[in-house]
Amino acid sequence: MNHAFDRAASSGAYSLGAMTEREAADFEKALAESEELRAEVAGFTETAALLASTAPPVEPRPEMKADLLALLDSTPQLPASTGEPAHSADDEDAAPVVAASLDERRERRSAERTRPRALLVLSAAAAAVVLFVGGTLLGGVLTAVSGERTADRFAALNAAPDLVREVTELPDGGTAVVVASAELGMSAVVLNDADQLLPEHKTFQLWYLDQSGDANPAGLMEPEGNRNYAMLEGTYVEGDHIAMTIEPDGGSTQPTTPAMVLLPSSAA
Amino acid sequence: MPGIGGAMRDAGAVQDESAALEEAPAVETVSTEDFLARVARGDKAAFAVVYDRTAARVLGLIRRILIDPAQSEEVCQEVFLEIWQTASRFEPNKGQATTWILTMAHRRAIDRIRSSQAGRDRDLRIGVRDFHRDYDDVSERAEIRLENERVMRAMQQLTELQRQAITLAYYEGFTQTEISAKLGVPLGTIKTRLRDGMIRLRDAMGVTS
Repeated sequence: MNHAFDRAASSGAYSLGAMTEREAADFEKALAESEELRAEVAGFTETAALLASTAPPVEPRPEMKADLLALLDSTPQLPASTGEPAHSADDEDAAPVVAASLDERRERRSAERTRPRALLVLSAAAAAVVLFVGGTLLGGVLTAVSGERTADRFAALNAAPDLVREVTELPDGGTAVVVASAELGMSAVVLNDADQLLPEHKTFQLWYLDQSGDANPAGLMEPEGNRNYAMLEGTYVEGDHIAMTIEPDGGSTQPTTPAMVLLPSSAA
Repeated sequence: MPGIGGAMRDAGAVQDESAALEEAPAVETVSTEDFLARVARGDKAAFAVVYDRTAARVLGLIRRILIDPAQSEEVCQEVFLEIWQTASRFEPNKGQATTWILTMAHRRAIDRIRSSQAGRDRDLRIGVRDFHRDYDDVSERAEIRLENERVMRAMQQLTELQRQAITLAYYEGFTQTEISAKLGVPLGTIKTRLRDGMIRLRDAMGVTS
């Protein structure tokens, strides 16, 4: 069997991960030279991923998600491939796109020999923070690590295991989506195409309506463009209703216009 | 917990609502590929959605390979951090998001098995594996079950020798050289079995790329 044939015949082993790093690097040279081989490997890769579906799904512990979300801020993201400085201009000119990304993958493989340790240290540090702040509660983790950042809190909320979500059509078009988690004590409102409704010098105001019927102001919301979200101020308690009114700029201490009740759904 | 369906006012509202959902940041109608593109721009809410959609499958695959729950969770966490870090490298025109994610999970799981104690224990597990047992255990989620049936049917198209070689490679993380030694078959034959087996699987499952 000649060498070229040998490499071409290795597409199955390569796609199944059955090569050593050295063999994979050798195969990737053949891959860079052959469009046909790249197509075969792409099909095999998709096929191999389907094999994963014979493994019974296993739900991770809920803490894993919280831990991950807490680690994102300290985990840098790679920029898009274009203009990425890791390769010399020569490399980029010479190698087809697929080969470049496979090369990167191989380089990452060796780089990862050291990285998991760093990640573990990071995880341990994050876990320590949680312990010191005194919460094994999810809320404790998020407050400690994510701080005030609205995007983080919104992400965490959307990730909550007990998430409640309601969509309400607004009277004059657009929709309001409420997401709420009693476990996190947080809620948010997402407005779609609602900016047209708002008269000049008016603002949306959000309210928690508690069991005794009192309206507690939960923040103002000025949609920009056709989509916006706001975290409600204050703590969401299970059973609270969430409502929205249109108020003069700066908001009001009590609702001055009819409240649109967003949670629970009025159909319920 | 009320779902999206609970929010529908009447039958006439259904269409409007699904149109509106596409505008909302975290909803079922947006593809995982689109969410990955948002993850690449640092969108944590999108990351949470990608996680929700794929975590059980990712951990399921890793557990299948590593068995050990603690190591599996570590690797699963590494996979999701890698997704966060490298989402910008995902190319939607080159395949599906789940393929990209599961390929990454598989690679990390076999990297781990080749470099750890887990690898030393794995001989004990060979032969214990039984596709049908796992299949019966599979969760009730219809989408996964259908895909699973598709794979099971395709696996029946393989010769016993092809199935054996692919199983040792994909689920056990053996290299082609190790498989060759284990089965007492020349390396070239193993390569051929793996490739011919993958061709059959690909065709039986209707993979077009």
